[in-house]
Amino acid sequence: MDFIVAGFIKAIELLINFDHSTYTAVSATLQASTCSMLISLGAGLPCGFLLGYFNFKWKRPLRTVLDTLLALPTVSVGLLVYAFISSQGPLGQFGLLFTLTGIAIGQTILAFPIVTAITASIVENIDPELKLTLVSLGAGKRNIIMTCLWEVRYGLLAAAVTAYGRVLTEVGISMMVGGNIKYHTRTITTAIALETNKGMFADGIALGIVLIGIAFAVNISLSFLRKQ
Amino acid sequence: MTQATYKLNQLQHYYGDKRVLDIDGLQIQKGSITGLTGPNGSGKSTLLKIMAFALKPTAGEVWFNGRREVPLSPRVRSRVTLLTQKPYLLKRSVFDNIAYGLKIRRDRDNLDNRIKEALASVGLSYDGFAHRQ
Repeated sequence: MDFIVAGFIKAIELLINFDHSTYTAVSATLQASTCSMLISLGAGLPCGFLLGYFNFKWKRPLRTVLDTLLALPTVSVGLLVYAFISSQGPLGQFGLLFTLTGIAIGQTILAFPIVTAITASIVENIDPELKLTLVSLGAGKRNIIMTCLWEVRYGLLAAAVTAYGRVLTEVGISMMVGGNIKYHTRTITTAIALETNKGMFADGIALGIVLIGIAFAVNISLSFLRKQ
Repeated sequence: MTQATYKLNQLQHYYGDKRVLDIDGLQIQKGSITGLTGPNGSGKSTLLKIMAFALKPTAGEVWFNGRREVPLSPRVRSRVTLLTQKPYLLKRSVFDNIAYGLKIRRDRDNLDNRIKEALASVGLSYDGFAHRQ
């Protein structure tokens, strides 16, 4: 039990003393996850809307594929991205391996199906009376789309939080694509894995507390937005 | 003879393989009151949705005031309104629900007073209800 208590004390010390390695890991985590979430939301919300709102021939098979991708193992994504951006891969010339951009690409692949699939489910379940009401009130196509999205805003927020939770806590992509380079691509999760392997439980717990703190702060902010 | 407000020609509508509507011709004159009767599933609601330009028929033509029209056409959008059997309230304040139709028509003149009047007409006070969610 002592090492757990020591971990909490160390966590407070690291944060109060602005420990450089802790803050660079936090910064790397936030940079990669924010970038991947912005891209996933920007692409996933419209794709999810189209998939949920319109009926077309390949809709069911596409939904099945997307639902399967919800359970994508992070190491598989890491391996795939690694294969593409390593020096021998088709995107090797861009030098993305062991960079935060590389991690963000992998995390985008992880988050995109989550945002798209949840958005599609939410849009599919919109009450059919809503569209009829909007059309009968004189709404045009743009108004219908924007109002439908606004009506399901809390569900979309939940999609974003779910995807962010997955991105924030993944280890596989950050480890394989980022390489866990100190002060550069070391994220909170890869740092926890490393510190625990070294037997430095206190440091691991400290970083774990920071990670939970970030997740908590994000949820509090969204909850505040929801009340507004 | 006055021009018919509605003129339907060879109208058909299918849900999947099931035909729910088959009208050779129907005219509704301006100012007239027309009633639709029929058992459940006979296509009354479908016909109303098509006439409100909220649903595209599988086949056939709908003419409104002498012009052939289609769903979401700007010419009919703000001129035909269907009051549905099951009302849908938007997830926003009472004020915003009432103002929605006016706002999308960009008709924002004297909005507060008009909403006050609308609420008063159903016995609700503006101060007590307008900003309820």
